[in-house]
Amino acid sequence: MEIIYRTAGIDESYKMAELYNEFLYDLKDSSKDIYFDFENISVSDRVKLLEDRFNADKGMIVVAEVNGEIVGFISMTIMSCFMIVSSVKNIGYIEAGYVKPLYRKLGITKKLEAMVVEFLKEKGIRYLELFTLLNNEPANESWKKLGYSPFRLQWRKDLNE
Amino acid sequence: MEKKLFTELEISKEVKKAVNDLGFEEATAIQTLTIPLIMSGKDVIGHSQTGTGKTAAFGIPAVELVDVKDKKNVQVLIVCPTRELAVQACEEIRKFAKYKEGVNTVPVYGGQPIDRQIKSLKYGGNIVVGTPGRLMDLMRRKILKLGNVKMIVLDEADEMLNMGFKEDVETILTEIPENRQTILFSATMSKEIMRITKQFLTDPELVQIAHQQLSVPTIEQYYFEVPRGRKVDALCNALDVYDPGKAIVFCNTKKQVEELQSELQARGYMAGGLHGDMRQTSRDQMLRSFKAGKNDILIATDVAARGIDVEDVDIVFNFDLPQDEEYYIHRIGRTARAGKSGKAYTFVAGRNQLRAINQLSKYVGKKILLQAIPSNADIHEVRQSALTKEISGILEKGTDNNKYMKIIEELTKEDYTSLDVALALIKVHLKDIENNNRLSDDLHISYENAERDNRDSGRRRSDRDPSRSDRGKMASFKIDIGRNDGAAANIILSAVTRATGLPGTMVGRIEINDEYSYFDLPEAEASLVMDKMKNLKVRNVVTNSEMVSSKNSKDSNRGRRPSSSKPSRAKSTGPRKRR
Repeated sequence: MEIIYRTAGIDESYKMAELYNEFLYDLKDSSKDIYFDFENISVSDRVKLLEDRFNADKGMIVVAEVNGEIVGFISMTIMSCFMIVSSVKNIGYIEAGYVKPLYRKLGITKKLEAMVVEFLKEKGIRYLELFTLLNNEPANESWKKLGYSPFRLQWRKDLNE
Repeated sequence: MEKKLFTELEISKEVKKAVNDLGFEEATAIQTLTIPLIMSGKDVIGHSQTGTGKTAAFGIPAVELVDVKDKKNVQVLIVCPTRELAVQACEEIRKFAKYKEGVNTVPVYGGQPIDRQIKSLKYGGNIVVGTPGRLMDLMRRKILKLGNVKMIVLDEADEMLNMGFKEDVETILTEIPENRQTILFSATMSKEIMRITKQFLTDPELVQIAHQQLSVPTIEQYYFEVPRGRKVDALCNALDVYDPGKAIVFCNTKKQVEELQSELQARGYMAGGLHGDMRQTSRDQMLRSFKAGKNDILIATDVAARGIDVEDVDIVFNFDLPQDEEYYIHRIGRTARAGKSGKAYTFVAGRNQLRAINQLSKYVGKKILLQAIPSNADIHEVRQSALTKEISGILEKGTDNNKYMKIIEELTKEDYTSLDVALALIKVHLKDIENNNRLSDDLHISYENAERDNRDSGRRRSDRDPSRSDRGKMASFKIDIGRNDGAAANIILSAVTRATGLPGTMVGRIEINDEYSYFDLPEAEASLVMDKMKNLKVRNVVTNSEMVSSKNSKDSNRGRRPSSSKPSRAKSTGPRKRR
């Protein structure tokens, strides 16, 4: 089985938007957290939100393709560091990484991530960040394996309780 | 519980005919309960152990469910944890589908070139049996399309989760249309299994086979590890050495009863068969003759043997592993009646059957011990001692021997002493067993295993085989896997034999430490070990072996035969007479 890794083009924005939404549904189902709940999400809205990712100055989407089907992707955006005054300025931020269940455990994320890293290094960007949920052990394990480590905790309080 | 005959189940005449060909009469408990439920379209959770006949419980409905006109699409998917189970299930299902034209069962599993499996899937299979990893691979390649699957069976689901297939199983389940029928078999009902059933099964019926715990304290239970195709030989040796007054040999099918009967009769044993297809009068006759001792070996199916009450059965042989744990209890309960003691021996061939024996052990709550198959030497010994006894008896009586004097006189005329004549006569008498070398030394491994298994620690093999003395210098090899990685003597033994191709009898002492293990082999094999055991995967650990020392064969030759291989003399009334 041949897996092709490549950057997604703007002509694929609808396809990518659909897959991105699949990722969100997966997040919703697996997190079991109302915080990540939503009613409906539209593909065309998502297309608009993804516009910047096809602009090499602002981000990128890399995909894994099997027999013409996109089976996994990473969507990365370049943004300023969360502490605006920091000297770090811009960072790469992985807002979504998703591989269809049938294609997991084949090392697809690792390959895609490496493409993103290479892209950012060329731009002289030092940090690549992302968030996972604390209880999502498989995701935490796999990012750890790729050399990531947690550096800040995001806290919240449910004011309804 | 009330079991049904296959003829009473609502299954097609084609499948009934196939089942009849296989010689099965009565459905096991799980089959009786599960087949009608699956046939009615319900989701089913089968809570049962292996060895209860569950392959037929889902295999028969699977065969019935297939639309034989649709040869292209996969209609039934069966997921098994291991390659062995997948192959076995596939073979069994093919037997049930013998008269159902258009049912095509295809096995897919790892370890075999995928191209061949792709080819057979493309040719068309409406029942696919496979292991999770390979199924996923074929799904990714778009070879295996599950859009038309009507039924999915998860066989030994708990085992699959234990083996780390949880995500794969879930993925496969999500890839199949939701209006399918889902059948799940599991020996345990863990939280994880319950979660899967909740998520993926619709309003399932739980079929649970209650364990009927019977106490069988006075029965000594053993099993023989027999290479495939050698069961009759092993049985004959056991009959000769243990020499039971009465023995029942259980088979799973009518056909096997008939075959074994003619085989034993041909070898001169007084064996009679008993199965459900015989007329009642023949059955009664057979039973009478067994009770009266005219036939001292009764070969029977489970159904036929039900209700027979013979008090002095010394040994029960399970020639075939029983299909149902309950059957095992019933079978061995035929001996040790009326407060007497008895022995039960079960013939085991292959890894799956070994697993089943372990489960049976748990089920009866008593260890079933590995026993060495009696060897030709054992038979010889038994015969010799019986002959000695017989001769002494004749000499003691001392009457009427004069009429044979003429032969002696004739022979001594030709310069032979009476001692020479006596030797020749004994040789004539004992010769047939030497000429009839039924079980050669390839079964010797069983002795070694027997001793290893039955010893308390089970961790050390001592060098005991006198035949090793001519193998020259032994050497010690170190392999970098130990107890901490799950190594045990049997694992090391099988790794060594598998990698080098050497017989197990050549392997001497095995010692297991926490991080490392040691095994002894003739020094001459050192290069073979270096070559074949380089980067060898043992229990998922990549290992290497190296020679650490050599020693004289004498040191490694504290020869002692396992006591278990000695024939039982408890009631030795002499050798079985071939009649």
